[in-house]
Amino acid sequence: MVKIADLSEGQEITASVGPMTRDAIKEYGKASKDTNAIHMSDTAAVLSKLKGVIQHGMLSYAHVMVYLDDWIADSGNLTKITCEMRGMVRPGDMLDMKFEITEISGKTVKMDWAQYSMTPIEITKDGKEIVSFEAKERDWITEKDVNRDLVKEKDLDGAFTWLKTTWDEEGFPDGKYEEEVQEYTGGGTLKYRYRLSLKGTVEFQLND
Amino acid sequence: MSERLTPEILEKFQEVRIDPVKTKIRNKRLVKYAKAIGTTQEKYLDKEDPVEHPSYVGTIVVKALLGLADVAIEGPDGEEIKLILNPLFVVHAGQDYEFTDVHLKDGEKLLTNGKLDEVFIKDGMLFLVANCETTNENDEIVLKTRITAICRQGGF
Repeated sequence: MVKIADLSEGQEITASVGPMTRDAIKEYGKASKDTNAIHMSDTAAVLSKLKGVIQHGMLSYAHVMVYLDDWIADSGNLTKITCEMRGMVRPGDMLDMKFEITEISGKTVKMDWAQYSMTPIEITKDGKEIVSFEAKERDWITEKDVNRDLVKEKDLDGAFTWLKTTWDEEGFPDGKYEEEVQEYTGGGTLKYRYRLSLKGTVEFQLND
Repeated sequence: MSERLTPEILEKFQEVRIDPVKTKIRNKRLVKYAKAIGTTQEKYLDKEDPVEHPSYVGTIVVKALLGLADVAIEGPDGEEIKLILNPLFVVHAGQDYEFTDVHLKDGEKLLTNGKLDEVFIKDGMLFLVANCETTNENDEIVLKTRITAICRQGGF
């Protein structure tokens, strides 16, 4: 139960969801009737010079609204939300969401929010590549990302959740794939891109 | 600056209406959508009487976004002037919602009306901002939304 008395201006809330998967993107496409080929077919996305499928911006947005709505639950309801779509999200990305309370007025709470995509590139240990992710294989990281200082490194000290995608003999992009969410626990250094995907504001009313 | 879409022409697109979009609500679809976005709240997953997830309305207004590609005005010589020449160059750039207390019901038909609020070219891209209002069969406003779309160079 969320109550006004428990919240304060400047308070931050963070959450993560993922990794994103091709299967979930397809399910969203069918459920929302947005079956644009750049989301549903790697073959079509490659032909559109996208180097593979991209997630619907509205699905990334839905993840923000699911988190907020689950957090508020029966304590109130969303009244307004705005969203600017900034960066593409792909299978394998983790999404970090950050919310900051900017104003509390009566039972109305306003927040700024942002969503960042964390795209794993590789894990190295003692100078050797241990895991190479799809972003590296498909050349999803651009020179612009590097120039904008969006490619970072961090030491892994716990379990790292990632998406393993295995393609049949026909391979990417025309073949069939299988996806499996795995946990890597072997330590090392993770190289990844961290980029703004969505940002906006939200307003909700609480009951108490 | 576009040779075809001069500032004078762009100004004429402001307030131009988008083709109305009709949507029929089905409980089955509400539940399928709720599962697809990963919510676990029972009220959204109840097969008999589901409540729509707040983000479900996005599936309704995305149709209005597609309608932006067909917006046209009549030119000085009676010719049709379209804003977008190639819809494949259009990307969804923003989506704002203003919710109401009116919930969706199985079988009801919704109507989304919208009109362009802002049309401008910036950094070589065409920006289109539209305001839409979705109403139910009782003329109650279900949702107000503001859509921003960008048409990349080569598409207008």
